[in-house]
Amino acid sequence: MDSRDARDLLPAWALDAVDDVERAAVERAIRQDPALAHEARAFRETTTVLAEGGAVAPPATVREAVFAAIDDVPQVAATRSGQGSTAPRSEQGATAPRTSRTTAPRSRMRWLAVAAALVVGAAVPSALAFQQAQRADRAEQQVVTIAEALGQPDAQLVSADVEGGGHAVVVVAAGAAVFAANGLPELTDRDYQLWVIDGTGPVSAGVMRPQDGEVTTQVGDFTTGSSLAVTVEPLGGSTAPSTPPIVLLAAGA
Amino acid sequence: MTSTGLQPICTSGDREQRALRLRGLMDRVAGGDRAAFESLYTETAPLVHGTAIRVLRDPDLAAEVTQDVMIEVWRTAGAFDAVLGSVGAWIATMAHRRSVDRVRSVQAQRNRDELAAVRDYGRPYDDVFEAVEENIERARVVQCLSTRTDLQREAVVSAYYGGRTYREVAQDSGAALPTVKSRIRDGLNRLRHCLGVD
Repeated sequence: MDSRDARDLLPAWALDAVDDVERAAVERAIRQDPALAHEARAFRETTTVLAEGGAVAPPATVREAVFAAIDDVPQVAATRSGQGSTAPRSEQGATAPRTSRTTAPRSRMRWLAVAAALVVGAAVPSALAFQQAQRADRAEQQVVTIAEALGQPDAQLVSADVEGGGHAVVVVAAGAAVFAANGLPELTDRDYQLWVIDGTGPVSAGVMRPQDGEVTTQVGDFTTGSSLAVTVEPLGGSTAPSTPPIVLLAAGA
Repeated sequence: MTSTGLQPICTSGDREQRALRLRGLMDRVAGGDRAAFESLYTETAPLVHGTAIRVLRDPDLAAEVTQDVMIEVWRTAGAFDAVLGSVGAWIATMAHRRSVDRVRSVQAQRNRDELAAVRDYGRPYDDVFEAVEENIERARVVQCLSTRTDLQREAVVSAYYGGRTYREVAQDSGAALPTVKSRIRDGLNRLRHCLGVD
């Protein structure tokens, strides 16, 4: 089935209104064509909202039965290759290593260390970010990492546009934070500086030097109720902000 | 969103954040994390059960299907592939497919007319949502389903809640295949814009 035929069947596929042969052919086409994949996901998300709108809590007996059963149910191994949606399945090689398969809760410093290795290109969580075909492998890894960070019980995510260009995100969990931004314009003779603002006022979290407009910084001690701000300062930074913030991200208490 | 003072997460991002959170949970579930599966169950079992109820019209069958689906989610979490859609979409699709399969297998054993789901697939949309708990999405879904033309709504509702393939919808309604496909497409597009999806 070529992309055009698959596109023709996308709405029916999204409603699960195709037969098994058609479904397999449509999904094969989706894996080979990122534009088709994007459209497919949009249709499917509509169906999902339909399903969520009709959600009904199941009886407690179902929950008990499920959790009793899974003790004896072996799980399939992760097959996600991390190579993105452009390569046809049959050509994908060994699966990319996952960041962690442990069931123990991640320690604060451990997830911070992983998060700091993020490639920020798709740090901005949007529906498209998952599936940026060109940087899909890095995006995949990074989405998984942010997502795992968000899996922390107290995780919060705040994002905002940056005045003058770019977008910024902070993920706060377990008393620490990761700040990530992309699309930052290059500065001449000035530096971006990150500040933590708590009850006592702004404290520098360091100067940031974006590469290709992207930067990721970790902040080791960050209590909820604080904010992160970025200002543009003279080269080397300042002891206190000298200009109004170009972005302000507050994590609720 | 601009930097105008202390702003919490804006509502338009809530969907994205939920999608990311489910993604993180799924990743941990694939590694055998039971605590993560408990959270995932709490968040997604209701949409499975609601789908099963609407397709099967039988609470006992719906509970069985919900149980099967959630166990399958646990079993195959490692096979989740984001290229086809979000975690919510994956689970909703699994719920739908299992429910439809169950209807068809029950059909094979009983007289077709005995099964309410088959008898009533032509029912108006609002009956489909009877006796449902209030939730934020439901009001929007009900309202958005009412904004589409009858033919488009019928095509989407009979395909989805009736568990029909587009070919069967064409046979049942006597319409040509391309007509049915475009009714489904237009219906789904208008629903998508009305619901504010992406």
